[in-house]
Amino acid sequence: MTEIYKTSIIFFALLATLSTQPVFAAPEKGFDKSSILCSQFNEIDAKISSKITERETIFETKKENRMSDLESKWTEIDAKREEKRNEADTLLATQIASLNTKATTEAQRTAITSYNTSVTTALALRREKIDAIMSDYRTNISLAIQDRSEISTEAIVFFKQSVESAIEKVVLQCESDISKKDIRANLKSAMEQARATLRDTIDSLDPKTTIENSTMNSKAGMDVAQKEFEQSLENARIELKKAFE
Amino acid sequence: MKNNTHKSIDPNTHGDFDEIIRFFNHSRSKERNIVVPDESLASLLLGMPDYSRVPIHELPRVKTSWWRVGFILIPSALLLTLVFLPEYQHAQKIALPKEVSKPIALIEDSLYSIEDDSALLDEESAYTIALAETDITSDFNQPFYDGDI
Repeated sequence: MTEIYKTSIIFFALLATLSTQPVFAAPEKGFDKSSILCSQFNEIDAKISSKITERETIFETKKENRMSDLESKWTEIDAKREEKRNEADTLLATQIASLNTKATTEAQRTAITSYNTSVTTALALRREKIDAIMSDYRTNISLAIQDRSEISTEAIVFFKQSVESAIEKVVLQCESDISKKDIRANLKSAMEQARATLRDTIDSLDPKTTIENSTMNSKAGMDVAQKEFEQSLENARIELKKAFE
Repeated sequence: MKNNTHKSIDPNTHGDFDEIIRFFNHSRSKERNIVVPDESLASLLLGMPDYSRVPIHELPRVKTSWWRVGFILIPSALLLTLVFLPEYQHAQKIALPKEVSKPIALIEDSLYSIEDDSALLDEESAYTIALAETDITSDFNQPFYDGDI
């Protein structure tokens, strides 16, 4: 008797499970969503709005991350530059010490000190100029990226407005005698148009040219600073030579 | 191999071409790597001028035209002097005595090469371009609403 009860319970439980499947299952492949567009539009509207809000949050996060990533790179480059400068300073000090061992007269030692001072001054001046060039470069880059972010923000605001406008139109169309299929097609078309406009706006932005131009100008400034540095070193060398002749 | 393949050729016979061709054919059969056809070889040999037939005293003499040589050499030397003299003078001006030239050269080389600000700028620029080109609106650029409508 107990066995029969148990078997019956399992059988009915399975039957109940199978019979409830179609209720929760997704609409069939051939299901026409147009038919429920107006009746369930509030839910559809809420879903779309929620997805837009979700993407807006991601966008804001990406925008902030981009600036923080850039600042991290700057810190990394600055550390590398500082390391190279320290390396150069150490080598300079070592070689000046080596030079002093070659000096045989007081005049020669004084000339080496003067040479060291001239070279150190020229080096400091070059570094100062490089720092100024890099500062200007980064200011320009920040502005370019901020401009692009602002344009992106504006494009997204426009996108949202276009979506809202398309949704408002659906509400009005649902009250009229326009066919559900046409309403759905119009909505899809409006959404696609909003997306295409956003994509075109983003594609029209060209940060590469701005950055490349800034890089080129900065390099030209660096070349000038380097040539001045080379000239200073040559002058210092001529002065040093006099003491050793 | 010794005498059969290498017979001396009498220049007075104006070159026994058949003899030469036989010699080459024999060599080719030995080496198996000469691919020149018989007729090509024969025509080449026939086309060669036979200087051996002309006595050396009858050959035209090549005269050295010294004024022509001078015409080329003197302006070239002047030009090279004009180009390299300022460089030489400058090198003399800044050249240091031996005892100090090596440390100074090391100082200058290191100060020019270690701090390569241009390379660092290139690295920063490449990173910045990649970053700026990233589309932060990409999540909107997808038909995320398709499933709902």
